[in-house]
Amino acid sequence: MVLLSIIWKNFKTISKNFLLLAFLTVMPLMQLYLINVTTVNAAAEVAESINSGFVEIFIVSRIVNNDMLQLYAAAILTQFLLMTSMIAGAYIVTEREENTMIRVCVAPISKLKVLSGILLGHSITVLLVALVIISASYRFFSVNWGDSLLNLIAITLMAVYVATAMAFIISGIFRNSNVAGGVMSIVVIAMTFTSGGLIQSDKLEKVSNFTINKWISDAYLILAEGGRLRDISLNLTILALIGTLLMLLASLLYRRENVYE
Amino acid sequence: MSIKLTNVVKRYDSKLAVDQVSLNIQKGEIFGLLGPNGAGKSTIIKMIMGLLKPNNGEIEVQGLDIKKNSIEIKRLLGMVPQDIAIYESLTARENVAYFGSLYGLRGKKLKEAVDEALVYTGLLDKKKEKPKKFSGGMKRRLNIACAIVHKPEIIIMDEPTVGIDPQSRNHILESIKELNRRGATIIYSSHYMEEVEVLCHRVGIIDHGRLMGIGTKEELKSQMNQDQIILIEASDIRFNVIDEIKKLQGIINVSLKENTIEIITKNAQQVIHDVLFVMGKENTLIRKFSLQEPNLESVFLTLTGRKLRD
Repeated sequence: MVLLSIIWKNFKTISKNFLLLAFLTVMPLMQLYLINVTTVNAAAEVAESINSGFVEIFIVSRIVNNDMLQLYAAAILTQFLLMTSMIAGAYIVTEREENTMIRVCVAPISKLKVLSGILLGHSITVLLVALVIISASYRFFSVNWGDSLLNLIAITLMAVYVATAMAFIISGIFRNSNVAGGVMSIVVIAMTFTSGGLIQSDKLEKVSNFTINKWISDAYLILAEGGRLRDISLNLTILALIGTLLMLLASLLYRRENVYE
Repeated sequence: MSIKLTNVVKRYDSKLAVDQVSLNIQKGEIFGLLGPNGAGKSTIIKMIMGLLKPNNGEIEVQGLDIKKNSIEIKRLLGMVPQDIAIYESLTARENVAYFGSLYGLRGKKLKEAVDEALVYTGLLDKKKEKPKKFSGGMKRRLNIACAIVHKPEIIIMDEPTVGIDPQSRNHILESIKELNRRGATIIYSSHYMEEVEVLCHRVGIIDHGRLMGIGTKEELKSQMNQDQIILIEASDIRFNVIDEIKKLQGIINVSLKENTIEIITKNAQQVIHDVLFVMGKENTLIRKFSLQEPNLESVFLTLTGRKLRD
């Protein structure tokens, strides 16, 4: 029951920040809109300007550009999920700044329970953000996310797990919420770039395997192509391993006795 | 016995923050920890709360060893931290309810406990407001409400009145007395001498991590073999009066500050007749006469060699 209180409080704290939530849901949709306009619609206009006799060229163009939209949708969703998770994780620094962490630490609960409560509270928020992005992109831009909601939830939760673990580490190192938030944003953008989420490049192909974005967005793409749980099991396993490793590192950081300061 | 510390040592790297401190805090008393900033008071409190582990020594709370029974001990304790520790984004009620829920309070019990804590701190009518609209004193009171919502047997207050107006300070001090009357043991850390003097049954004086003295205020004062100070406020004080008083037997020092003569002596009773005789002879008009009793300030000065706010 104490765990539920922590989960609920953390969910409520972030969900009260309407501006942040609006930013995290509207921004990716805006990006998708721009990509849609500049790629798919532009291709359609070119195709339509050609005489209707050349039907074959028109169809090929649309398929290629729809694939591109799928690709970007997965990358953008991944980027914003990681960003949401990290921002949520940064609330630990705010707790320290507001001195409330000391009160939580003197309560008769283990640190593990406190961290689990924060992680689960954030997961609900991130799941909601993901739900809005997925359903709005499906509705307005016809982005295909596959037909398995459970698999989508599985990969989203794994993304939250890894990102929150990273956020715990960064929050454990930096004492100022602005600095921690800045570092987290840089990490997410750098990973998005390296994973090929911003530009497609052969040079980034090998490096991208070392980013968590790559494994998350690939899983979304596999699901979009009709993949099943077994098709994304490698992605889930790799993400689980990375997440657990990061969580272990974070737990070492949070084992120190003045963690509340 | 409520809390027992035996030869407790705490080091931060090479710095010795608490040095072989042993003390017993009795059940039902208000125990004052008095010392300047950086003396080691907060470190002692954090060790009792289980936030810091001592490098050496034993800490027991109601007979339970803190190393083995940390969670059980935390249930018995309530802490009012030195810095205000509340969520600015939650209302007063939500703040108190959240911290109450961390101690396992639920449903009707939690609601009643929250209302009681808010009534107690005079914040019930502000329960739906967020603390960002509160004055410093109101935030301090909410800070206390969050610590007492689960009705702890022992309440540890680390400088709970820092930076607030006199009215809020009085409210808080009265609340602490009331909590104690209801049976709570209170550890009150402060560097405000007058608060400790008014509030505490017993006092431990801490300086440079060491316990320099412990006892009731009277016990501490009686331990002092100190000089007495006679203060005489007068008009028409001539310079030769000061010289005459200085020559009297048993006088250590005489000084004049505006219209007040300050006489330091080993025995006020012995010299007072001679002093009054000299002043009468010189036609000095005495307006006010007082003997300054030893207080915790002078006890502190004697024990540590420095003033509390040095």
